[in-house]
Amino acid sequence: MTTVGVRRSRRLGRGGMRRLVPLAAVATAGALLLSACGSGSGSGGNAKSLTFWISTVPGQDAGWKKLVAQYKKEAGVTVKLVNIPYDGYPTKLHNAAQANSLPDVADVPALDPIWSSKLIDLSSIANNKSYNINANFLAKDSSGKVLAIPSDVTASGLFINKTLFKKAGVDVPASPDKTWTWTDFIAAADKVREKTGAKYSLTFDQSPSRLRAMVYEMGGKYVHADSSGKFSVDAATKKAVKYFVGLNDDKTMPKSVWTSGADPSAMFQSGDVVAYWSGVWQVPAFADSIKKFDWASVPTPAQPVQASDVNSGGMMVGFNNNGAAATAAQKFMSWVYEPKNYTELVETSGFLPVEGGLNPKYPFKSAAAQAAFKLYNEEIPLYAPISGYFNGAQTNWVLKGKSLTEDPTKTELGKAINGQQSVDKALQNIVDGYNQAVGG
Amino acid sequence: MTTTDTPRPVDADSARTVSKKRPRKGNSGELRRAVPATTLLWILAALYGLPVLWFVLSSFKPAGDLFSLPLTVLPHDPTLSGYKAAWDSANFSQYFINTAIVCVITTILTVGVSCCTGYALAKYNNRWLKFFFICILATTMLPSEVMLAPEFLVVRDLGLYNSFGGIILPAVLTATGCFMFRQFFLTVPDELVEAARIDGARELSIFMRIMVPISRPIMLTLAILSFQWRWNDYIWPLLMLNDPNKFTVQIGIQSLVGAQNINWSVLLGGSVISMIPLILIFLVFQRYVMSADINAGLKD
Repeated sequence: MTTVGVRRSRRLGRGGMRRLVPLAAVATAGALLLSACGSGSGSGGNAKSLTFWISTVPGQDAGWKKLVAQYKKEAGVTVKLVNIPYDGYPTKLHNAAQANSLPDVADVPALDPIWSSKLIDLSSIANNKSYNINANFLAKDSSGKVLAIPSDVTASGLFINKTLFKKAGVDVPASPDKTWTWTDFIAAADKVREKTGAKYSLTFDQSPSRLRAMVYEMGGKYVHADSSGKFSVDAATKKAVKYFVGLNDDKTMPKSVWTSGADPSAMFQSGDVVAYWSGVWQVPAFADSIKKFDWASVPTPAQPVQASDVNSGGMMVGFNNNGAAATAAQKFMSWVYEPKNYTELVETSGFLPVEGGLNPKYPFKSAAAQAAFKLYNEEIPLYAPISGYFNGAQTNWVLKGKSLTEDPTKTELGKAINGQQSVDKALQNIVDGYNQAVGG
Repeated sequence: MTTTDTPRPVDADSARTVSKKRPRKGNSGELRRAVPATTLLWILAALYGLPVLWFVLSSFKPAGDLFSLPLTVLPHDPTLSGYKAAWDSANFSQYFINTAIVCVITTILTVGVSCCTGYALAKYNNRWLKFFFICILATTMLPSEVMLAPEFLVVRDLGLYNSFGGIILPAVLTATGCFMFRQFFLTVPDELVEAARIDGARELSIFMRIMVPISRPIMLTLAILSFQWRWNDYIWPLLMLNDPNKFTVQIGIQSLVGAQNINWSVLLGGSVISMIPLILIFLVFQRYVMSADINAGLKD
């Protein structure tokens, strides 16, 4: 074979090359054709046409679709709504910034140092008194420039399987002012589980945010930075996290959620779990998907702090692509936050409003969903200021050019629940992780 | 790779003769040996098939039925609402056309390029060719995530951002394809080439008239694989494409998964829809796929 090969290559060197020339020409032509398909990546819209990136599941984009159609009618500006999958959205924004092709307006999950300098100042909208936007949730830089306004707020919350509670004859608190403690609630849920033969008392989202909410309610501050920016955990946090890890005993709570990523929502929807610690975004889904039993939102426990982890559901930002588009983008956002239009968005999409003084009427047919939204809207004003700490802290990190890409909480506590390390060691690792990523 | 040691066409012929002879020679001893093996295969098939069957059947369940206990295999009142919601939620028909264009063009180019490369690597003996082969193999040793950022910069600077060219071009050369063709052409006896040359065939016609036709099984195997890779590609098209009219099916499916909650019934419907073209392609071409293990442990 070697001889054949050698001879072949020698022959190619002489006469074969000539024959290869047309082939190479075809290949080059193909490549050129391909590159010709590439439209110039000139970024940004103009005064009459804007691009708006959002990331929602089907159903929850209804509000935006409605507003965009209405804006076209009223202002004659076409807003092109692009729904980007949540998984990959930050990476996409990152790359779009590099390719100089950011949208004009976007509803983003978090700010990113790579593009935060390209944002337009939204202070004229945020400071408009008639909009009544809750200033705690704005993302501002040190000069007072408003970089982002939440599209909505989200809060952690507790769901129960009302049918099981009724069957076991256990009562739940009727209003947020007379709420229960975590210990009371767990005792009640355990009692319901034992009486009804349900599989677990509680499922708990595998999410640092949900754990923060629980720690806040038990008097801790979770991983908190001091004035020099160094992170630590206080005694109450240690106690609360130990309590939480102890609950993962495959009776009160299944270990599989925090150790191997089982879907807690699916478990609760099966009807075999007494309660579920999640958040307001579940309400529209439950209204549709739970038919076999009655569910309800109940007041979040307070031991003794009435708190939750309140975040922006999405952050509305405008990108300064070019003068005309930036002005048009700002005009559009200002229009969105006009109470009349914003109420419509909140109602159609099932959002909790960031503007005060609205009285949204949600279109849910389910009484449980209506009651749930009423409860959340009542509770949020009662929450201690710590509830918004993380939301604000994240913005500050970004402005310093840092970001917590992956919260170490999930993995470290997973190991603790699995018995691979002590809770103290896990907390130490989490604090170290925070210090390394966003400390100082 | 031992499976490719004997030339393929001969292999196919002998298989056919063996199967013709078997019924005549059939006796109870052979039957006794076949029963346990067949049973095992059926059990394995059921093990693999059941989850898929459950998945497909679940897609016909209404959202409320999916998680309610006791879990059932058959839907109580079958509904297409999940499919409808998935189809309506985004511009799926456009996504299908886009993905089909990308997959077909990429597959044709990949098969062509891999065939040429594999032939050169197997039949020409040059030091730099060997080095080139090592370079191609080396690309499989880096995780694709590592290459994402530099690849993005290159493609962007070529002006292919937000165009189908940007997702077709980087996918054309695959180490797996080149390797498959190289291994195959190594098994083709050199005497065949000698004979053709004595008959006066030129280099290109040896390749086009002899080598390309006999490598048909490899071509079809690679075509199926390549089509599947491109069909299931998600992160690269997501980063490359900005215009929703150019989105691919996987981006559409992924947009059904939210940050905090997943509408399973819609997602199931969408996933089943996206599987259909692949299954069709496979059904049409499966008889050409000679050995399934050729793909084992390889990546695109």
